[in-house]
Amino acid sequence: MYIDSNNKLNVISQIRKTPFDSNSSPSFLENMIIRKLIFDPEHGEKLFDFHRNFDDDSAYNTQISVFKTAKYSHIFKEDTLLRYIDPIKINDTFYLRSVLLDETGKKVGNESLLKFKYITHYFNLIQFAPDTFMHVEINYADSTLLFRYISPDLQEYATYTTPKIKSRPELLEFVKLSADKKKILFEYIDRNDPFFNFVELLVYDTKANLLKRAALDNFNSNYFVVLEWEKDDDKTFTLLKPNIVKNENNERVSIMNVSIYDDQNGEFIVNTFKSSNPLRYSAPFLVIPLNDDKYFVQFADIANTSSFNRDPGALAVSQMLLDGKTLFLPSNTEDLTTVSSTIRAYPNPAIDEFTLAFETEYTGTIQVYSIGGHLLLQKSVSHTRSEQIDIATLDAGMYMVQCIPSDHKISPVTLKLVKM
Amino acid sequence: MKTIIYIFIFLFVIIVSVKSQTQLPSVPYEKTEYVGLNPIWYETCQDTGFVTDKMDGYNHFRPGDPLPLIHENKVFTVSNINHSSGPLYGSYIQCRDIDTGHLIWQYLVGVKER
Repeated sequence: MYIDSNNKLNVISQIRKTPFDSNSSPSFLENMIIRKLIFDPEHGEKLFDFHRNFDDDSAYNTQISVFKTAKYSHIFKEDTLLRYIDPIKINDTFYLRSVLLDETGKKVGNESLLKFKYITHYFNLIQFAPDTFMHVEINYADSTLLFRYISPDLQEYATYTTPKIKSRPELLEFVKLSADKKKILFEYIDRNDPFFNFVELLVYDTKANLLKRAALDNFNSNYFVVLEWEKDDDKTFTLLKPNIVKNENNERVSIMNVSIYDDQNGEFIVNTFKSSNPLRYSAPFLVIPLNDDKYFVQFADIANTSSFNRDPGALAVSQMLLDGKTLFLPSNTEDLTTVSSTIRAYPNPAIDEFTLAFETEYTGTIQVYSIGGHLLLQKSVSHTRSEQIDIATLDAGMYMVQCIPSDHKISPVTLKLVKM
Repeated sequence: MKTIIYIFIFLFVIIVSVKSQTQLPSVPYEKTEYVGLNPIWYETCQDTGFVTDKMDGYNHFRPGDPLPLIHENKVFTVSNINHSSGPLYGSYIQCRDIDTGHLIWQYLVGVKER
């Protein structure tokens, strides 16, 4: 979808021909019809509707099937034309294929081919600029990813190889390119694992250096969206994710957590929102951060008939606009205290520094989070009863101080701190 | 033992997936309200023209492939029709006010265009 120079909404899709060549993937070029719709964005009036096959005119009359973007191909706008790129197999060898189409889907010029260096699992093709794409291939022998920079007509600019990947590289899937186009988010989900025991997030720079990662152990869900991951010098990921838990009466409770993950400390739950109906929950699948600290989130509304049985007919697609302040401001901030039974922060309010006093000798991590849930300071201490923390660089406001004992014999303690 | 559990769960998912295409919800749809989340707006895809013995006007929607487009205070989205719902194929293109969630227009494209 894009808005063209005449301020009209253009929607480009591929429609599967029926019948299609059963020897080939139904999403390959030969089995698809390009369809382009143009709308008046103000009122939804359909202005144009192009759909034709660019190789076989008779296909124009074939039955139209599913209207969707094929998973294994991409169409990009290129000036007034369309660039279609897909992977094809010729004599047991895989190639990238690039074709230029006019706005009606008619092929313009010749096809370009580029032989794969390695096989791929997901078709990860990322557009950095109108004339620059990156194709991600997998080197199974080395457990690495190959970033191949290519032109629209498949001339190779450069290649970069990631460090060795500990988990299975074939299950890394491209999620998003950062707004500054300098960072690339991948996620690892083994969709054959019904428990989703292990989910991993990885961020690479454009030269395939690993910038940060987080392992989401015992995650139990493949539905989540990453709200925050792009900030420089921030090793954390902030997620919005649903969960089903039991309350003290062993009753089902549906919740939505805002959690921060980093590689060192695992999960820190910033906020928990409880569904007013324990049998209803939402599974977020897409988020778009907006400029004014708001998030556009799409999700599936799902219902259960009982604690364990999903209601098969209950599913809806919804969208919300969420306020970052509501997401990140802990709903239990009022419950946070400046003094716990084991740890005390003083002075509070503080000016340039504060001291943490521990009831017993403490070894572990001390973290200072903004009220927005971002990790600002972190310090590891060992066998201490008192620790001074310098907060001179922080702005005035409220912060959360979390102490995570390394021996895990006691639960992490979170205190509220005010800086003047 | 773990393999057996996996097989049962796989079968359960398959059964749920198949059944989800063929029946109404047990109770009428209502929004999921998370206490304290306080969304600025919360809107559900709905087409009351598709209320049948299998569809409640909500459950034939499925997430679409194109990413939503946000332009001049509007958000444009594409949702697919669950093609197992019956002889229905196509997608909805929706335009909403990004500030209020108000549905400005909705267009159904596909075999059953109206």
